[in-house]
Amino acid sequence: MSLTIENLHASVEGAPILKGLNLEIPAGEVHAIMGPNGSGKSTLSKIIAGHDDYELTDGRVLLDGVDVSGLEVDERSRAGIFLAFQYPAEVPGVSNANFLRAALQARLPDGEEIDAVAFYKDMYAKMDELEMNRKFTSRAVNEGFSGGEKKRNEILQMMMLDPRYCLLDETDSGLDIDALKVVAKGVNSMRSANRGFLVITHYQRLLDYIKPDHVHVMADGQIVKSGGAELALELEESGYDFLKTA
Amino acid sequence: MSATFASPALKEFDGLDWPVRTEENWRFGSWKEANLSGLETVGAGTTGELPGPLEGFERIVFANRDLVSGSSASAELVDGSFGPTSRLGSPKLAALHTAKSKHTLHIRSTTDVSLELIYFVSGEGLFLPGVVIEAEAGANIRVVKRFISVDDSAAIVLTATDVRATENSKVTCLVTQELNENSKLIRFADSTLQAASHAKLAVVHTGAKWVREETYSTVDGSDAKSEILSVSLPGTGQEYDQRTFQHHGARNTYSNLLFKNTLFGKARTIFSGLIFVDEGAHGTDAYQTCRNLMMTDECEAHSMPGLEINADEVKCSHGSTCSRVSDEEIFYLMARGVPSKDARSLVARGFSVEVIERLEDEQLEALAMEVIARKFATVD
Repeated sequence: MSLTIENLHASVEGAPILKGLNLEIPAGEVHAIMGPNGSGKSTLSKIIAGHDDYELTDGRVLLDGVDVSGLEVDERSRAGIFLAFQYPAEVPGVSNANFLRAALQARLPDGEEIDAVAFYKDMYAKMDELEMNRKFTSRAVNEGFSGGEKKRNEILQMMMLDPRYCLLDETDSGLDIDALKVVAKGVNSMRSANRGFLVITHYQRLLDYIKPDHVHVMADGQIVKSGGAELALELEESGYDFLKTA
Repeated sequence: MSATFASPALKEFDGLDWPVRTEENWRFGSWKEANLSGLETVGAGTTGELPGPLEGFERIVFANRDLVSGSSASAELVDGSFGPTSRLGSPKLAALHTAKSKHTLHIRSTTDVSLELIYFVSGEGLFLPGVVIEAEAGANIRVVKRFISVDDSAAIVLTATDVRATENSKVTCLVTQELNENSKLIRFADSTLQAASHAKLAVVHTGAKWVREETYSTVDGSDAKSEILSVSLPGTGQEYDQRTFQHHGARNTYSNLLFKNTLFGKARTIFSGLIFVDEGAHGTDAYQTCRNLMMTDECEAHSMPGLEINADEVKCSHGSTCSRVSDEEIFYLMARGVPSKDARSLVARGFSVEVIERLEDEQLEALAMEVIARKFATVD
């Protein structure tokens, strides 16, 4: 079981960004992708999630062997892909609770209704774990949230939706050290043999808290180097200069 | 041959002209819809299924012009129209109400009153309800008015409300309009606020094929506060035409208007609003916002916000926006597994919430959201 990215080529407004990227994330593993600005890291996460603005020109994304490249965004989510956004959207007038209920309801067969009592119980337990005030259930999704609150909210959604594969796009950006620890704790609590993670980050710091099994370096739309957790430390030490001489 | 003795009101009505295209107050409006010549008042009506009760509210039910159930110590049915005036382009229609309305429900109180008025509308013809809400010093009056069609007949509801908030009183009025889409609604909503009074007048429109609404609020005593709220959800074949006037006639007064229209299909809306600050009404604080959410490429929204200030030390703003549903919001919701149609519906519903929350009354907010949800269940 894995999330497999095969020979992925993608462009934005005609400009090629991903140029034949291959990556396999087996369930049970955490993979980190690092790389300089503009290397295509965020594009990769958006393409896997199915964003319309990014055009898949070649290659495919397989979820446990099933090609999901042709699925709509919502279908991919329900199939088990979760993207924690770098910049989560604000949705005025839609409460967090209603949003999560709609997302969970969409996963149920027609005619089956979500159990409201169980839903709230589950949500409150997870909010406690993330040290989120319960008032956030009735607040509009991300509206007026601080950077840290938005990221916690992303992790809350991830915990509630229980996805098969989680993509974390620069989840550490905008987080102070305390919030980072809480968010990492939430992510770590979800690590299991049945779930894979792809963590996109600029900084080693996040990987101190979410220990990766593999680290990949991305440059110019491809994976150019892979290694263990120690690779992140090397990058922190010496940066990406090696790319220029490679 | 017999002589005809017309009442003074009927004479006035006869002497006035129906709205015409060239009138500024009918700009972009469907003035021909307002020509009601030859229409007779509607006969006895039937009641429909009563909505669930609002806790703590007394309920009065009308079937067309007849009171069918309910009463309140604070409300009296008096003969004839209270005589609404139109200062926004429809004196002929106001005169028609004065000439033909059978009775006025006069609500008056010095204390807390919560009243729900249900108007079941059936049959073809003119129905002309009128309500006066008179809040005396210390009163806190809540009124819910609900217009509900019982059948598919082309009814014309010509309704007038006059809110008179005397010193230190509070009035909250929520009107919900769920008429069938063969009907028309013409509505005069006037309010006069004296010192330190507070009026919150809200409307939710989801039904009728054509709505013409003229809202005139006179904020006439210092520290008076007038809030005017509207949520409209028209679809194909529906046109809502709303004209407003926030008139500041005294120092240190406040008004705030927030209208939100969500347009589906080939819907059409017109909003024209003016904030007018009299000479000497210094320290006025007045706001006017109309926002349109365009759910399709085929809907049409016209907005004409306006401001005229004749005093000093005034804080005023007015503005109007038209926008589409944000792709970023839709992607975000869909990335959590919410199907496209449901995502658009959630965002569109959320758009109205800002208005509803300003009611600051859980019961009324819940009722307004119920009406909105019913409409959303019928649109694609």
